[in-house]
Amino acid sequence: MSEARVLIVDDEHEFAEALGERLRLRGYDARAAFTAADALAAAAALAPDVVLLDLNLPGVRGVELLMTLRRLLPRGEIILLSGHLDPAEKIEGVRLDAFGVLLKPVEMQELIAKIEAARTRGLSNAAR
Amino acid sequence: MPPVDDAAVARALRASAAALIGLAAHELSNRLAVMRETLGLIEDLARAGRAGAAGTARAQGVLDEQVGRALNLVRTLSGLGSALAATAEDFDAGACLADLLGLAERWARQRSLKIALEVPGTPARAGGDPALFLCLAHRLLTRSAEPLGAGGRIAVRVARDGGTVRVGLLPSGIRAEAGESPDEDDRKIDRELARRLGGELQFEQGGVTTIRLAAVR
Repeated sequence: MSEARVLIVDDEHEFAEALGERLRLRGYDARAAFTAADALAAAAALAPDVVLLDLNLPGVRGVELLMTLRRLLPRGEIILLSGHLDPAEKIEGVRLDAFGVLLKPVEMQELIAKIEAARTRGLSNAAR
Repeated sequence: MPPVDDAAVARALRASAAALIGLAAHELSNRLAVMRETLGLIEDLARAGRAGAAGTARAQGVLDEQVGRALNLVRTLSGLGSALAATAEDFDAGACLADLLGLAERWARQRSLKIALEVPGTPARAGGDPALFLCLAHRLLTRSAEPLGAGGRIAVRVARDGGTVRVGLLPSGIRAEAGESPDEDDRKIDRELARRLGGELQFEQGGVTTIRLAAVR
């Protein structure tokens, strides 16, 4: 399997950069985007296998961004990764077919397992 | 106008307290997440034989900065805790608002709003229960933000004028499509909170709101 492309969308720069570096050390092609506009541009350019999305970005409703990314990445999977999730947003995220929801801070082992499971589902959907 | 009962005031106090706790929890979890990830990165770099790399020094700088921000948050929470102490009978309006806005920073950023606090050089102490003041300020701030578009601004001005402490909320950048449709029930509760503080509330054109409280030395 080629290295998975992971897009981290989070306005906490230091968090996204550190997580991106840790994923790269584990062989992932990880990039970070800090705004909704950057996230959409990066998603279109990179076609990531997995997006780690914080729903609490400035100036945008997280659920709307999730829907737009979903349309843009029919073969990609989206995992919500947030420091705080409104229960309604969590329900809406699951309804909109987010692959999973993780609360920050998250153990690397747990995150990798989720990314791999998401990637497997994405590959299997693409093969249909 | 029918009076506002104690239960409605208690509900308003609980709602504001819950919102402030939520903001603090969110902010603290973000700081901890950055620290956890940064520490993990330092460990990963060491494991990869890159402990001396520039990345490590940068990560240590990030850790220092995050610890500083977390400590600021703890100080803010400590200030709010003191303000909410059951024995408090007066408060510095500027300090209470600084703590409130400290917690609301991320909330404002998510809405692309700027909130500027202007306080006088000396404390503007007002009589009354600071929990009521925090609740009132939180409610007014939240509603002032509702009609604002991205890039909107709220100036929060505290002034002491003789025997009065005046707190003004002056929003700018109201969206063209946002009509003036104040919820009268909300305003009734706001007025009741101001009354219980021994003061009064004035709603003006353009979303400007002024709280007037009796100053204490």
